[in-house]
Amino acid sequence: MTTDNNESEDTYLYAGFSDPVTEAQSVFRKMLKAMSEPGNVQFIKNGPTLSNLGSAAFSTLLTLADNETPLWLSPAFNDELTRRNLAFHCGSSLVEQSKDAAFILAEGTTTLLPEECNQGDPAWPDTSATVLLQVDAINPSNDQGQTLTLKGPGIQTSRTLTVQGLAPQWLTWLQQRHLSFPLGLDLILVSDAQMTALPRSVLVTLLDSDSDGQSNEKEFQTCTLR
Amino acid sequence: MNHEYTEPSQDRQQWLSLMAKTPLEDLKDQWTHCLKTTQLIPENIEQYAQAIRPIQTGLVQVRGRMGGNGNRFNVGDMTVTRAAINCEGFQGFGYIAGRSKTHANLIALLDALLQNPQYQVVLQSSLLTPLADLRHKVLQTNVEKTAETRVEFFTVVRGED
Repeated sequence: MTTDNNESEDTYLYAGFSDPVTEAQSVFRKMLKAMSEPGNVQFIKNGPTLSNLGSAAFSTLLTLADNETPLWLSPAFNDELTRRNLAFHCGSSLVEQSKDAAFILAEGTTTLLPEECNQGDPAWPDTSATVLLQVDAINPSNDQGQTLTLKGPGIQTSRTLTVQGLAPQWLTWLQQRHLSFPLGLDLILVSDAQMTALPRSVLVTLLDSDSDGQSNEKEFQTCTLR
Repeated sequence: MNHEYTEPSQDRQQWLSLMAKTPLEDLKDQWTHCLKTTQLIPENIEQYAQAIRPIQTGLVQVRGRMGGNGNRFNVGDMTVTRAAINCEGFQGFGYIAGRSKTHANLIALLDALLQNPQYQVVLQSSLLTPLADLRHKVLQTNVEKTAETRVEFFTVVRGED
């Protein structure tokens, strides 16, 4: 099938979910699992893909984004094809400023700073943004990447998660974000068909960093109890 | 929104409107007739079409203005069925009033074919023109039937001066 007649390649519409209700429910269930057990990796196989978006990234947006959720795209994803397809399938308005967005879509190595996203306000912490970062790999079979130790609600003792291709400013921010709890961002990491979540309730320490996980945890408890 | 929007051509608006207002039976008949007589479009063309989005039926809120320029008010909800398909690199859309998925899908297919320069001329002459004539006839009959029962009102002006 040719795609190059009068519609140019960059404005072509691709198929979304073939059965929107069932597929969106199935993806939503997986996201719920990933969110409630941070670091649990879910697979969205045979999902639709779009331009630079893998099946996990596109399926997540198809499931969550709609006309009430302003979306910000990082320059890596902000091409005509992606914009047109997301406008058609999700109907989200695209915003220029990342502060105004309910959903942020960026690559793991983005130059975007966590502080540039809406972290909610003390009266309404739930109005914060959800950040979707497409990283190079999650739990890769080679030994590359940064290993994170996760603790907190939904994890019995602790869990490790290896992420390849996550920008340093996000790694630093992950280790400190419990200080501003309940404000913060909920992070969804995707890579091709894999998806995992790091909601703001999870306590992150880098495995090979010097910081002491124990002391972080104490701080975290005082923050949540207050 | 910062994505570019291109205004659909006048022609396209007209053929979408015409096909949506034509009853499904008439549209189907004319389409089958067109396929048989012209021999240009493969009969199994439907198999080359893929849905971009499954056919959906939903409600659209219709709004109006009193006299065309008053304040906007909600007239009511209207059942609308829509289809979107890809066919040989062209994207066709079909929107109809009502819940006939076949009708919406056929319009989407024909919309895609009508944008294809290969088929456009043939479809214009052997599908759209007969349909437009048919529609014109229906409207003409309506006007004539209405005219038969027309009542003229006269107002007697009272002389009050």
